[in-house]
Amino acid sequence: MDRRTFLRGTGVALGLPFLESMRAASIPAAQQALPKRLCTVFFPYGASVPSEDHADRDWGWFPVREGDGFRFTKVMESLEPLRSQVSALGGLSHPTGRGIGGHDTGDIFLTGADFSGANFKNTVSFEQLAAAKYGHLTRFASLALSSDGGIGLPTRSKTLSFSHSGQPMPGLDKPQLIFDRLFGVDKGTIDQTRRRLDTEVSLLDRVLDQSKTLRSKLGKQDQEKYDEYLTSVRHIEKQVARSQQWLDIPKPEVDADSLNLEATPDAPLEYIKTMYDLMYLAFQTDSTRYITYMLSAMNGEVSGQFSRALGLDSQHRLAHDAGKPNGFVNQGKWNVCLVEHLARFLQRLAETPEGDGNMLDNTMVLCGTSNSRTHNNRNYPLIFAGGGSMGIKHNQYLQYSDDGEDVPMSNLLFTMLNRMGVSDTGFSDSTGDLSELYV
Amino acid sequence: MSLPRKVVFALYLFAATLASGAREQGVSYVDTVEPLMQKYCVKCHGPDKQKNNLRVDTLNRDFVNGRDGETWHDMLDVLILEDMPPEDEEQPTSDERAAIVDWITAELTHAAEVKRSTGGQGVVRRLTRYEYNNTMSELLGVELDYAKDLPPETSSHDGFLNNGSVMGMSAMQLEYYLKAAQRGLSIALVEGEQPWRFRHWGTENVARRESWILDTPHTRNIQPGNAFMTRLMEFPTEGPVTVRVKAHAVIPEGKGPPRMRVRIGILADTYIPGGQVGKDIDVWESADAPGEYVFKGRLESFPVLTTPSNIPGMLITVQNVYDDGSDAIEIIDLRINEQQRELNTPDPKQPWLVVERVEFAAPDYAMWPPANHREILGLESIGIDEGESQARDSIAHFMRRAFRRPPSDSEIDEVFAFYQSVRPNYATHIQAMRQALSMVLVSPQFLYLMEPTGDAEGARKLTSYEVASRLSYFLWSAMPDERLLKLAESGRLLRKKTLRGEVERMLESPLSERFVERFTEQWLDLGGLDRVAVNPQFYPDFNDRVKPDMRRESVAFFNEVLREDLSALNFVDSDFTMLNERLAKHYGIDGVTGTEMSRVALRPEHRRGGLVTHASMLVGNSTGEDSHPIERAVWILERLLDDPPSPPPASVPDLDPETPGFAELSLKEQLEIHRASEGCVSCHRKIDPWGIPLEHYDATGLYREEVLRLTAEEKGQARTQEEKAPLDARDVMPDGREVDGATQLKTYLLEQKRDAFARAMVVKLTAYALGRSLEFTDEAAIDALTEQFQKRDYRLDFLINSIVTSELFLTR
Repeated sequence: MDRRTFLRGTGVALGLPFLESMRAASIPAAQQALPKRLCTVFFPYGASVPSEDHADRDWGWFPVREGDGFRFTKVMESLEPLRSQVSALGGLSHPTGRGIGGHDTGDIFLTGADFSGANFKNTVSFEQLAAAKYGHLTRFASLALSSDGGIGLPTRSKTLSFSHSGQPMPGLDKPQLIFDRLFGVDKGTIDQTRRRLDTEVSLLDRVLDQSKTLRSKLGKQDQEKYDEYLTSVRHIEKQVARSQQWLDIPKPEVDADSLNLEATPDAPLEYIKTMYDLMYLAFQTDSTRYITYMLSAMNGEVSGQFSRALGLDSQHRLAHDAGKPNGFVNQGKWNVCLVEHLARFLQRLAETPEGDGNMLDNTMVLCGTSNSRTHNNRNYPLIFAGGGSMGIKHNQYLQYSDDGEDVPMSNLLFTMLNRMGVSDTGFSDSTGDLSELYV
Repeated sequence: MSLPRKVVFALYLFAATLASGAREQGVSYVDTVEPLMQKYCVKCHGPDKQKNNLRVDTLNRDFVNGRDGETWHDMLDVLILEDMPPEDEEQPTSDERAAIVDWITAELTHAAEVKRSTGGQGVVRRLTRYEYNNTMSELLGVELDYAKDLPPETSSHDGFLNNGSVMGMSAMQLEYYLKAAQRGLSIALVEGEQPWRFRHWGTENVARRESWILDTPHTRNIQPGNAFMTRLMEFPTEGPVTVRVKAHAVIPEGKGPPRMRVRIGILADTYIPGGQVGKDIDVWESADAPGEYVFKGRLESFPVLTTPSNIPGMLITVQNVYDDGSDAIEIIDLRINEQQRELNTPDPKQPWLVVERVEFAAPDYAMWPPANHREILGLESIGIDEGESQARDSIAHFMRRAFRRPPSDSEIDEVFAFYQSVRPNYATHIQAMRQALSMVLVSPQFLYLMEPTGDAEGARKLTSYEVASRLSYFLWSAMPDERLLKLAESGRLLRKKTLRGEVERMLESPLSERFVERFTEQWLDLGGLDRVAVNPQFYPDFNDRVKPDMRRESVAFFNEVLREDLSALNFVDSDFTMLNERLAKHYGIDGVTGTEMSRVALRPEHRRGGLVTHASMLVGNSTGEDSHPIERAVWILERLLDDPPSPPPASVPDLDPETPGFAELSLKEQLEIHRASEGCVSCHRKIDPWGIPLEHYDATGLYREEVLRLTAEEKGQARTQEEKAPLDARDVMPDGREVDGATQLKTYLLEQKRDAFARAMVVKLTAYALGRSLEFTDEAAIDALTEQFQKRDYRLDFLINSIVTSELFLTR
């Protein structure tokens, strides 16, 4: 059944939950119990996008020729072995992002929020919808990672994840800390841990009560800011309650020997590899199913320099110098490095059996950026991989732009949520879905 | 649109204007913009035709409340890019185009300011990471890194970390606050008998590897880069630690004193000596009267290998970290594999640290229970197992210090009730008390600087306790001490005379070093140094070891101006700077020795003086390969004149790669091409002249007469040929005055921009003091402070006093 047909028509399949009927047709019952995962990776300032007839076209991000007969350029060459599980997408962008500053669009990559008129209130990022629905199935509802760490400033956020109220969720940057969170074992016996958690629940409960009283004494502007605190207490309360539920289930044992948990962004290539390794482990142990990774943020003080590890300029300068002689080659070299790291991660997922297939079949991975050429907020360079068991079709290069008019990015985000069984009505400002991606 | 704090400005794509100026100068819509739009736009975008669905004569001119801001923004872009009017239509003159561009930009900037505005009230702010860390350390009496797991913080658009509106809170953050509280209290509140004090003496320099223990001991004459080590095969892992070192120095003629650093433990992954205990000390004492030096810390802070390894036991490392920056100093990598490189015959031309004895004692409690345990519970003299009957008083006592004011009865009841509810679950009173006090440490009254205003309209006076907190976080980056709380209690703190007295006392305290360091770092964006990697292909002689000194030069310079009652105009130009041997060597200034920063008189041939010639600024605003005149210009405009340019507009196109020979042009020539575009010129002529005069300073902050040039094709590849080109540091200021080189730039600043600098200094210091950005509603107050500041010879101590006694500081 064609999803787009359904959306356009009315009244079809009324009465039956739409997704159930569709899923039953396309997905073997045996696989329905397997985890469905979502992973998004972002980097800033666009990619190498020379014109079609440019001498350095082969250093461009987008593959050559459209349709399934496409050829990867040097940039995505490392994805060739994974071709049947990967697609390249172009011509998507957030309509809300097209009119704002060229470096202001990282925040809304996964939200589609409207920042016009200097209103920087963000909205929920798409993986949080999945986390809200299925997050209780894992020890951690979701995981936000970031090479720069923290939240950053509006338009220069250092995280891709935003809560239901649009609050940025800080990205974790230290490998050791991430590892300890996911796999670290509490000191003490289960009884001691249980007592500690009981105490914490009661403590937080009282803090919350008291804090609510305090709120009424604050001025209006203070209250708005203060609500961040109240929300945080509620969240951590839930989190602790959740730890209580998971108390009797030991954390997965993971061999940390192959991981370099001391890696820091000062050695970017090693660091990025470690972060991907941690993401793989988080998925493999089913510690969480939804991960975002701000591999590098717009104006990321630390991550902006990553490309220097290859002897190239900072990412920002690479993007701005793209039009200069050899500019696309230099930016392309950095893109090659980014894609190679992604490919290694995808390869590991693909090599890990799960159900009748492998982990990549049960994981949708999106990697890309919110500019094409620098300052141009259209035609996002995107790689979309995995999700075979969720009915995703790959091995294609899809260019959605029609005469320069892009399709909303939210249509892709909606398509992914839809395939995960999270939403069948839309996401943010989506106007439909991308049926070309369906088997 | 947006106004991010720090936009990495693209050389060619920069199009911005000093918008606030334009708004004040009042390009009038009715007199100027409207007639121009009638003349050039309305034919196609007016009542008769609305090409591209756009009608401009009915757009809402109110950018704040109207809904046409984005349309104006789009128009701005096409005007700058000269896409409109179309080529075949009549074109406006460059002045006409600039007038519209200026007006729209000014209105957009104004709208952004209004939208960001909190009406001059600021917004409730939490403690910054470093404030939290200092406060926890003082409150618990145990110095640990409490903030290490907290997410990193970001600066506000005006450069400060303590701005409430940009500081977030999240569940994860709160989780780490709770963990830090639990860990801190488990260490600070003790139980049981006093642990046995372990002692160790070492008089011989041992080897790191066990197999080498039997080897001949290494020398005790430690040359720079080398270290003395002693090993404890048995050792405690918790509690206060004291390391006493008996040592003397051998200082050759013309050299500074050796500098001693003590480390405990060893890092598990790299076998590098672990964390530093105490601070570095310069050793001056000679052999006939050796010194005794004491280093104190907590063992919990140090990495100790607990797994079997070829580095058994616990190592105490005493290093000589003197470094004059020369190649003669071999920085010995202390990794285990490098041990062979340790020098048993030290270089007599270098200062030696001669270590006679190292003494170790831990856990080193002067009394039991320790003083901080008693201080937390508010019990002067008490046995270790007593105090349960006074639990409520203890909680109240702790809350007063944690909340920085007396807690209300109901607040105490909440915590006490919690204590009572968990008490049965714990074996001892202290264990339950740790939980209860954890609750206090995640409460908003502790984590935030609360200044509740209720529904009251307008500003209210702060209470004396709120003033005490503002004051101590301003000058100490930490909680008020007991004296401040007492003054708040009696209400005397609100008297201006008392306030001035307290400012004086607080500035005299060593804790005010935090103010000097934090303010200078944020005001001058000293973090820029870390963001720029100097490219060794271009500067083979540059030594990264000098970078921390560059940072310290600026901090010490601010300190000197503050402490010596000098005029703040020294920041613009000065006849001295602060140097140590290593940085002086980099600058090529002779006669400076030692690691400490000291005041050095400057001569004209040094070509230094004022902040704009500090390496911290010059390097931090370079590309690592060459100067970056635009970033330097923006730095001056942002930091010294508080007049930041707007960021580049959206959708600026790439540079046209067809421009013949562009890559081979000098930077200034490239800028000139850029300025030839009418849309860009209005902005660039206001920016570039601030950076061009500093072209004589390269990416390492050194003076140069010519510039190294590379063609673009060579980029990213090994440099094969050096090509030098002459420099041009001349430019024309927006007011038409020509400025050539740094000296003239400084003269121009002093003569033409003195008032603007004074005002900027006031704005920056006040924003830091208040923890919020200043807004147009604060202008009158800022003007008054600026006037006083100038009357009092630009002295910082007077300015700090004026700020602290101003309505801005004392009301909310």
